[in-house]
Amino acid sequence: MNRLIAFLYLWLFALNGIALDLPDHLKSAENLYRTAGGYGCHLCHGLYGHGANQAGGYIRGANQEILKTALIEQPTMKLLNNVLSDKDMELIANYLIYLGEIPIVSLTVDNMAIGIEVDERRDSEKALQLVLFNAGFSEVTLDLSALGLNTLTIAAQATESLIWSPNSQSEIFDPQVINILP
Amino acid sequence: MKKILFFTITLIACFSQADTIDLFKSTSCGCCKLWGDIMEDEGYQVDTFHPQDLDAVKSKWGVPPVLKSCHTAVIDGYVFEGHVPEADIRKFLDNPPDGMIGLSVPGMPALSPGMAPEGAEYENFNVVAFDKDGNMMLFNKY
Ligand code: HEC
Repeated sequence: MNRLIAFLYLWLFALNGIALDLPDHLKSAENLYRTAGGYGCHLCHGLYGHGANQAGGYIRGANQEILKTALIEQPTMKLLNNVLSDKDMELIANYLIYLGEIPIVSLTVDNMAIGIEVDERRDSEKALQLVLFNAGFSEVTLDLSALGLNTLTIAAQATESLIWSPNSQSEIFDPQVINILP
Repeated sequence: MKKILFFTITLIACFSQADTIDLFKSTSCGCCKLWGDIMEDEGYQVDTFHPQDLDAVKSKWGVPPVLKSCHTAVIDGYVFEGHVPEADIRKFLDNPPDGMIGLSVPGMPALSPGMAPEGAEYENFNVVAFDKDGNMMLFNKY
């Protein structure tokens, strides 16, 4: 019975991918990351701290020290320094450190072409975060079956995130196997 | 003569009316203000508001959530989200594409107006037009 449950769990896991499973104490941190100052850090650093081609760039793994320095020294972040308490900064830093532990693969779908940025730290043991951005102006559907994942539809200009685990189909994530469906 | 003068003044008033921007931003946004400054230099009158809930403003004016940036500007009933260059706003207002209600430069690209260092060329971002149902099209590419 336990085996069956384990099997079912793995099957679900493999077929659907899963969302980022944030520990409870980091959920409010994520919320703060996306609303700080009334607009949010993500506009300049990406929804998952991965940069997303915005002004601030990649900040996964940044600790409190680095964050505090940036809030003092970066002209575009200075005003945020006044609205974040020490506790807020600690919370956000913990969130960034948590994200920094997860290797990330960023995919950008643009007009039937896929651009890929792969975290060199990916290996056959670690689950990784797949962040998929549709840079186009209409919805796209991706065939992720070679990765053991369901097809995924992404709205125009939207970003989706999945956790992909090497124990599903292949040992190491291979971005080449992703196809855009017509 | 008096009539003509009156007519001219009314006409001028009408035009300057069209060039007023309602700028909705957070008090803790510096780049929003820099964008407003650029628009003032371009001859617009910028009236700045600091609402508690910016998201409510964005959804009221129909900005698709995926196209969000920091500030939201309203000119002549059309909405301009984020660091949209003045030239694109002018082009849009002169001839709004069918059904489109505004433009957005989603996120905060480094080389967009208000983000880029003074005098730098605008580069590496899209200007996106959208309608009230969230349909989108590319309006300009830098
Ligand atoms: C208006 C844009 C903007 C916003 C909003 C913003 N940042 Fe930044 N941030 C930057 C820029 C620009 C840099 C400098 C990047 C560089 O040097 O390449 C930076 C740098 C950083 C760094 C240092 C990166 C390093 O390796 O030195 C951290 C950490 C950081 N930001 C965190 C945050 C957090 C957390 C928030 C929200 C509370 C935030 N930022 C909001 C633009 C922004």
